[in-house]
Amino acid sequence: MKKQRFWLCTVVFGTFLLGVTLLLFLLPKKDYSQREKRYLASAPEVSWSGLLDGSVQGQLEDWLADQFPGRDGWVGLNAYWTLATGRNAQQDFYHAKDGYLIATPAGQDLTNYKKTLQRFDRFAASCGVPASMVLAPSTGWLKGDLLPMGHEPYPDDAMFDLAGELENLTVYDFRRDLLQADSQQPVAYRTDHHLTSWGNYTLYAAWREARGLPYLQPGDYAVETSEGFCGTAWSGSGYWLTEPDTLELWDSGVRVGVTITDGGESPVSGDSLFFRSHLAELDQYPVFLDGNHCQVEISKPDAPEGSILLIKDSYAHCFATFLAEHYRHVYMLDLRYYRGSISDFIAQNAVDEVLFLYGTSTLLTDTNSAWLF
Amino acid sequence: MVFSSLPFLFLFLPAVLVVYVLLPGRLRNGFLLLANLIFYAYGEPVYVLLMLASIVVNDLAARLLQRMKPSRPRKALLIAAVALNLSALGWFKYAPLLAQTLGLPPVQVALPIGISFYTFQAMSYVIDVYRGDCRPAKRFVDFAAYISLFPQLIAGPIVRYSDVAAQLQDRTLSAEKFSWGVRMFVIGLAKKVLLANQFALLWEQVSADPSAWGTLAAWCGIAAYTLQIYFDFGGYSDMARGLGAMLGFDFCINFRYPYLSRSITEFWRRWHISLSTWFRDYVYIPLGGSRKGKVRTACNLMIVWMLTGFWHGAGWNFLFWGFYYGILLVVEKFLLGSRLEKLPTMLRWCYTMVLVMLGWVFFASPDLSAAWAYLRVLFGGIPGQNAVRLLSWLPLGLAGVLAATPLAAKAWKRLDRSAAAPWLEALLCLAGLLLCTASLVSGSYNPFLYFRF
Repeated sequence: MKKQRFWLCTVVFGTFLLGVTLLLFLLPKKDYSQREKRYLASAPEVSWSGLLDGSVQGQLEDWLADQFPGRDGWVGLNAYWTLATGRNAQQDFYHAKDGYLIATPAGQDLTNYKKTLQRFDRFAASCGVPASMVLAPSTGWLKGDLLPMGHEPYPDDAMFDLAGELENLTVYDFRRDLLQADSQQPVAYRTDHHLTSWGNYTLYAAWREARGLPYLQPGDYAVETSEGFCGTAWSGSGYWLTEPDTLELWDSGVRVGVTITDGGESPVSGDSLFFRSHLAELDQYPVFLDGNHCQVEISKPDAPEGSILLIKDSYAHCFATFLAEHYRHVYMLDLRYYRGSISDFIAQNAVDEVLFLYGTSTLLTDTNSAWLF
Repeated sequence: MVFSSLPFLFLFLPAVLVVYVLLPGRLRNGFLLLANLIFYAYGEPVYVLLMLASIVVNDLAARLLQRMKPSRPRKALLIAAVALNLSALGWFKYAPLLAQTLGLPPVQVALPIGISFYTFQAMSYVIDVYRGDCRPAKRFVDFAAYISLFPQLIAGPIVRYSDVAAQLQDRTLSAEKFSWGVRMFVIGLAKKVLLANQFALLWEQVSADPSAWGTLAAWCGIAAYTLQIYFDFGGYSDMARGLGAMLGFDFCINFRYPYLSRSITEFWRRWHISLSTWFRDYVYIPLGGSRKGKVRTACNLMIVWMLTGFWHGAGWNFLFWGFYYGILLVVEKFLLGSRLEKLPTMLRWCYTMVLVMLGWVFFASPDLSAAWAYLRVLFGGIPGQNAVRLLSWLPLGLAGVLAATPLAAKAWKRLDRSAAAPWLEALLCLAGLLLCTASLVSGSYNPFLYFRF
């Protein structure tokens, strides 16, 4: 009994430390983390100068943290421990009711957002074609009832109010439509910050209706489902036990050409709005138009309406698939990557109208409206 | 390298322990010195030379002092050795502050990690040799291993040479001691990673903009810091004692449930004991202690506590923090005296805790103006908008308050003799290791408050 007492803790301690250390060296190293969407640190390059300035030590710590045996499991354990000890409202992602993982507000300071609105408004006045804006509210705002006690407030209401004061840009507010639609089916993913296909259809239908334009009915689409969608909130939170989402592809059967252009690379062409190879990944959202790109063009030469330019973030990727039906050209430019003159683009491509489509969470912090000229 | 880091836990410590245990006893100090230097050089690749210089100079001074008969040159040598130690500390720690305050050209020098700790250990060594309280180390390697001993190198406790001299010569490793060390290390690690690092987040949140948070939240914020600093520093001391035991050493206890204190005098008998006793033995008593009348005693207390404050950091807020405690101790000694003891225990505890928390405002704030601004919020009755957000800290806060008392230790004593105790102990040890590793791997917030002392 006495002997056992002296050895048990020592054995646990020794086995744990030595076991993990051995695994660290024996297990194969990974280059990329799908959950974190980043390349993992590689072994440090040892040099005297690096040792003296501390950079080797820094690299060693990064490598150790990135290549730690069972890394994702540890991150999950920490997330659930934090949750169990009551600090849900202190995390970057709230473990909300009904299995929702909801990102905390990107910020409370509206200074950057106001500057962005002014730039959008100035551009709307000078671009020479009609310009409008649709904002997708944050999941935190849409699902406020599900949030934990003590959560940070979401500034979406103030953001919509400010947008409504703009003089040149026509701003559409479809928050009520989204809330109504949500009572039928979820408009926001549980594990991702984007709106669901149903949410995007709601925005599309409301926007077209508000402008007196025709739009398709839900029954006009063949809906294909894909299970196992684990979005950005899932990856970022570490709540690995959360049930994945189901992603829907709403296909009207429209035949289109899709051309993707990234800076310095030759354009890539395809004939589908959906890039199904992404359905095999944890984050399936890039199935819509292959995710983030500098410039995307959807063309349907026999469509009834002319050309529209979407200046957008990733919230537009699913939304744009609904527009393809109606326009001969849907151009999408992402200000995070596009560095040319948008005015020149409008003139060169005979664009008939401009639509700004963003999630409110993006506009709180994104400063790339500076590239709008 | 800090203990609560992946490189220490999963590279340095296993390698050192395995080799250390396998080596024959006579080679252990040499290996320990090598491990100490690697440990220090990992964080301070250049300043390791400064520490080595300090070791050589103090070793030499002690040997010379031992050989010389009591004389003026002997005293001069002691003064020179102490002055050299203090000059190094003064230049690396206080020169930038003094230059800035006096409007002189800025002194751009980084503070070497742990210099305050190893300089104080080295000074106590030469002073003890001078006084004849201990003999110089027989072998240079023993003394060098003592000064650079990695378990207490960067955050204490300040171990006196006379306390470990015999252990440096001859110490035995035992399963019992190693097991005790493991438990102490894991408890310290859990205090640091699972409590201190988490309370730091709350304090950072509130102290970033106290007036926006309001009075209630400001009190929660300083309560969080009160727990953070205790679990940070106390946790580190526990880890140091645990590691020391694994290597065969016995280090003195550094914290004895300080937040149970019922007076400020008692608080300083329970908080950072190795520092308080160092100042008592090497400053307060040589100045005359309390033997030369009330005025001198009060002066001595003020000197010691202002030095204690300044030792904690090169900032005027730290000096003020020391001044604040000096005043409180003088008041308790000469004005409150036995009157305080007649008050109900709860009232005395509240009096102590409020004063300690107010003291932490000066300690934790970046400068005096920030401290006054925080105090204005604490006593301003400012309504906050977000205080409800702090409710999520309640479970961990309660756990922290409980962990700052001996309740868990008392409860454990009851269980200790049961047959399940060893298994439960091992299970808790494993749980502590798993949760701490999870927190560290998750890149949880991991600042080390005493890293720059």
